[in-house]
Amino acid sequence: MADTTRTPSCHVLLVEDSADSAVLVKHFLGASKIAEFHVVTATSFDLAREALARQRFDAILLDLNLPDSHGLDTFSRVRDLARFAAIVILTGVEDEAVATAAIGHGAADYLIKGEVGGEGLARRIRFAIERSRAIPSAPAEPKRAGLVTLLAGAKGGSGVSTMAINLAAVLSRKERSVILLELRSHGGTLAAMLGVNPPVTLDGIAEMGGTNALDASMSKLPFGPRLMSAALGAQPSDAPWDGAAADRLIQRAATLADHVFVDATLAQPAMVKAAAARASFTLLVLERDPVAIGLAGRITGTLADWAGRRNCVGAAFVNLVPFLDSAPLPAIRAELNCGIVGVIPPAREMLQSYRRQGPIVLTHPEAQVSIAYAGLAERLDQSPVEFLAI
Amino acid sequence: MLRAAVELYRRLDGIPAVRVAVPEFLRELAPDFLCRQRLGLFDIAGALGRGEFEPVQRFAHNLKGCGSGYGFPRLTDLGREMERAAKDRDLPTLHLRMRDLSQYLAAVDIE
Repeated sequence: MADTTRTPSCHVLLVEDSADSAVLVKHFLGASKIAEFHVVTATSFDLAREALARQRFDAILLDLNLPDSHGLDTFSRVRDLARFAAIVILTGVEDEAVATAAIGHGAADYLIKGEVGGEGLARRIRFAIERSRAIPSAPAEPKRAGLVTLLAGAKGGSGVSTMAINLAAVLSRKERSVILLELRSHGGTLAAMLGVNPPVTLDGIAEMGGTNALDASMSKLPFGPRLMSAALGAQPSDAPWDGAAADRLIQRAATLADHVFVDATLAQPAMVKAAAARASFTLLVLERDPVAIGLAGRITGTLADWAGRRNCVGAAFVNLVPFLDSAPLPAIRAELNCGIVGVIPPAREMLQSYRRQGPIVLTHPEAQVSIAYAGLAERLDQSPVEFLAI
Repeated sequence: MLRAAVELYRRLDGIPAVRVAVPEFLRELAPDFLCRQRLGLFDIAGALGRGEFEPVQRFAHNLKGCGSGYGFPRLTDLGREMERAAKDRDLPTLHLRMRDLSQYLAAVDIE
């Protein structure tokens, strides 16, 4: 039987250089019955930054005056590192004006030291967390409606990442700014395929605030696009990603580029659902074999439902090996219940060459496979995306 | 040990106890907090002797911020006055308030 009496769990970063104050806050939160608080203490801005790089927090209790940072600047710096945590300012009566100003800049609440204690403190923090979850991120960021394309594989190993890399390469050659976003918390493949070791895991990126921090955390690939991917060998975090976090990340990425190619796996449906809802187009990548087509036919309707509109899901075939007895495309389209936007011819050995030389569309632009990729990229560069006339 | 020393000092000097009603949920923490302030007072007295105001200001700021939270609003008031005096380099006021603080810390008893 499910335990319905379980209290919610809140991860709190207490940024406070006063040991007396920290003892008090931890005591109050430790005794709270309204939530199970897990408190990590940082006594300086530098230590807070380290903690934020390691872990995600629901709330940050922030003393503005630290040994290495002061006043509103402290708030701004912390907010840039943890855009999605509820920041509650801890302040004295004399600094109330600064705390009020921080509210105007996005702080969830402020508490006058010594005036709130016991369960009242816990309740204010819980309230701040709930409120910050309910209110969309307020700070204005440059709006640039980049086209978001979700690439999802109908089954594992269908070549989603290869397709994403080649499409990104084609569009980069056309002077489009492109972000490759591998939407998974760990164990991704893009970085491994491209020989890149990303400086920050996606968990770390999710906690970063502001487009500047996000921009700086991406790896610039030699052929143009920028890459946001899971770190090599990363383990699942304690606080796995949810759809809302994925959505916020995609939104922010879209403000930084003309195109965002989201590489997601159907094994993490919450991610795919969030990405489909945010994407202007969902590209189902599949092999032209009966099993993959059968699987894909079952999910196109769901993807369209998640997107909330029609004609925003299409299929692209990758032919890792030629299926000579495959059904004709019109029959396949009927089974898929969606249009087809690309058919990439077989070129397994050539496609693998990017590990040494770069994407095939750049190393062998004259090849049939490259021409097919260029055609697909051309269609995805438009909105709405045009389907192949089959 | 420190509490025993304070008690002895108080009896020798004939200082009457100041009884402060501290909420139940703070009683566990308040004695240690008072001990830390007594030790801190020794430290800042030394700093002031060397002409260093910065440690005094930091101590006073902390006292101001935490006193009421631990159930001692008088410490918050003293902290505020000491912080201002330290900031202004107002040595006479600072000495007076430090004396007040010393007496309070010697006299205070938790109810």
